[in-house]
Amino acid sequence: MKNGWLGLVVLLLSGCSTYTLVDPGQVAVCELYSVKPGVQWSEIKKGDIRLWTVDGAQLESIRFISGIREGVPIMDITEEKHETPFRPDMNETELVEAVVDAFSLSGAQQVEAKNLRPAAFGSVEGFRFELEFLNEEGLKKDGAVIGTIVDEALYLIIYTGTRIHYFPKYAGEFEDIVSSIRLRRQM
Amino acid sequence: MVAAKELAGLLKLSCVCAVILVLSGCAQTQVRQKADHFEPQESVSVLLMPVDIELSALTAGGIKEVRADWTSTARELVGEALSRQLAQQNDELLEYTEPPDAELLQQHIQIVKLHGVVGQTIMLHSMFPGAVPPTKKGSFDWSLGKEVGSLRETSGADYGLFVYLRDSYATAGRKTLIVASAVFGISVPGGTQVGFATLVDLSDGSVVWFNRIHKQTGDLRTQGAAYGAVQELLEDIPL
Amino acid sequence: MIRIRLIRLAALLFASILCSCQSGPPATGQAANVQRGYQPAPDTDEAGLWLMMDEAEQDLRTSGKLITDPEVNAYLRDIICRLASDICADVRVYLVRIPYFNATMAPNGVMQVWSGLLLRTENEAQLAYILGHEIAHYRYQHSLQMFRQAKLTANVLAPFQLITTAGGVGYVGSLAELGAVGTLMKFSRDHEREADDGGFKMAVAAGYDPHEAARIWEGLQREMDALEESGPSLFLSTHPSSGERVDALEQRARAAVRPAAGWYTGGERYDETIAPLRFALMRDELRLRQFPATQILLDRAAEAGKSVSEVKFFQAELYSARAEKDDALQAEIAYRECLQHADAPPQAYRELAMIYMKSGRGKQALPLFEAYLEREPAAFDRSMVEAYMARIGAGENGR
Repeated sequence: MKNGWLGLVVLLLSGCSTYTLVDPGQVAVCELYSVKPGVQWSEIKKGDIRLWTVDGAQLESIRFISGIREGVPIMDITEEKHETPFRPDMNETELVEAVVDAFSLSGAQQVEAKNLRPAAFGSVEGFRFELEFLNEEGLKKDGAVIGTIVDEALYLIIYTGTRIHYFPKYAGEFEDIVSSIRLRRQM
Repeated sequence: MVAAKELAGLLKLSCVCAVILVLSGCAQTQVRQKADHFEPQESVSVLLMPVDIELSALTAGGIKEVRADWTSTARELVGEALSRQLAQQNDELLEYTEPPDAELLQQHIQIVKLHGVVGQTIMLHSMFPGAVPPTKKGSFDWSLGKEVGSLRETSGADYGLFVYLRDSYATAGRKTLIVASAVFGISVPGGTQVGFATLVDLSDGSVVWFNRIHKQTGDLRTQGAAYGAVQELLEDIPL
Repeated sequence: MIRIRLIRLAALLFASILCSCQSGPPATGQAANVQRGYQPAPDTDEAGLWLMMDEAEQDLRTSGKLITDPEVNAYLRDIICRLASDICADVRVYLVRIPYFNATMAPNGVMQVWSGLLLRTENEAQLAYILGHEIAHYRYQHSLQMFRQAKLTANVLAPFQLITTAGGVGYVGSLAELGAVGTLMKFSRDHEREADDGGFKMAVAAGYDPHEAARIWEGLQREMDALEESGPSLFLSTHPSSGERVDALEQRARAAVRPAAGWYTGGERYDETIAPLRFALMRDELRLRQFPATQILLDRAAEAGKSVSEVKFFQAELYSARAEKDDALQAEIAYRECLQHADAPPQAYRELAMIYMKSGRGKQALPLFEAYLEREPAAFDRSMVEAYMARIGAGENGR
């Protein structure tokens, strides 16, 4: 959690509350698509990134990363510019590697991607994979990712949480959210 | 202005709190919380988990270096204080022993690590109203997972007591920096203390009581401060 | 820039490891003075120190940083026992997943080997010379001597500080800046010479080719030269000149008495044992995006006669990661050259197939994808690759 996230944290803690409440029901994530959460989420927005959490981002969170264009680091997660910049001609394996790299660079340890497979992102083709990693202190965490490239821009939804209790807590909800993806424009 | 790089290096919660002290008047709200359904108990058995403690040196460059020697000293003192002060309660106090099964031991270690993150989140929420997700307002609902069941099985205890302490002390170099910066009207965090204790229901993993240190209790490498910190942590513990 | 400091760190470490700039009579007082199963007397300062180190060791074990591959760990233990069979049972070696060159030895017998080191030693002999130096520090109880002389306690625990510090902040970028560089074990010059001597002797006695010792140093120097230096070095004066160092080592190598059976280099055994880790290690290396330095690693591997297909494969990976100018074309060429070898890594088939698929040559991609899936039964992207094949089969050439 660096750079962009630090900014969020600082904003939060300064008392200027930037959390908003997201109620169950169809909600637009970005100009491309909307989703339908089944439970209430607390949301923070910063640029192209929206973060949802119920209990707190260190316990579980869903990150919506939208419209990343060529040359931009995929997750903009570190301040050292070691991150792989996005290229629209990247294939799914390269995208998985870029996400794994971004996690590793931000302090996650022993990051492993599993089960990369095609998946529907609403009505367009996308891809899904799982993640396993440890945080800086060695706490086990799990992740589930869905993504797609549309009009040369990258869209990702990343759900992560602690292996014990918190990831399982909303894993089902994440699946529902993925199934509920609806594009907002004609493709 | 604290450099962005230094800010990033201070991302561990203890230092973030210090940053916030810099940024805004920090309204300290709830120190102690408990789950609604939880009633103080007459006589229960409590499993005292190994204290999760780390003491660091804060160098002039703003880097935290964990010090094994400081940590060891403080761990011993705090452990002593906990045993002594809890013995005064009318409860059966059990000390944690490592299980022979390696996998089970790993799981217990994971539970302790999870406690650190859950506790930091509770603490963050209790200190900064802006940091509380609306979905968490007005409810005290936290868990270390049903995996705590294995702790109950092996020890027979009803509750687990988890303690988390982090402290950092400025090195000489950093103190110089602080003084120098103060001259120019710049605030540089000098080192901060984070400490909390939780009671966990070992039948389902739910956190039933949480308490955090809110006074700077001094150098945990000294007996006075260590005992004082524990006293504060265990204040009004519902046992 | 961070990486430069790290290379300098590695260089200085290595220099201190194999410091023998003056040829002269070997240092005295090298009689092995640590006994098997040594424990300090209870209630002494030393006992307190031991306790701290044991606790730090426990933290290391639960830090999530360790590479626990049983074969590689057994291999390291085996080398240590070849070097010092009398005390090796007291040495606990940990392989730490940090992509930089480093090895440390704590007074209580805990040895750390960082994963970056395994990419920079080409064979068992080179590894043995490094481990030997560390063991010598332990054997002659240098840290304890310093502790008993009331030198900084911090130094004695430095190996643990470094690892936990590195872990806490996230290693990329921060590592070189850490004051930990300054808190690394600063042994006295005599200690360094002793360990150097003693380690060298152990390795020679175990039959390891002494000519290999200089090669590690040469390689580190090349990496350093490849990176443009800017900014002040973290180190002070005693940065040794490379020519001197290598010459001195070569001199000692020549003076060593060659055993009847010849010197042992252990290149094959090393390659075989490290092989399962190599992919992960190279990924960690490429992730640093310090391509000039990584290129040196590849050049050295080629010069050392490592598996041609593997070197070609990682060369291609470097081009793919760098993705500048004509790197895409270079990557394609390198993958193709890699695949001319029967032992090409399965991933090479997939990577070339992806390149063909992207550039409208789907038909050529199909057999390559098939070959990949055949050779990599546990492919994490099996479903994805099958989908690619289906797409191509259906007449769409994929993205």
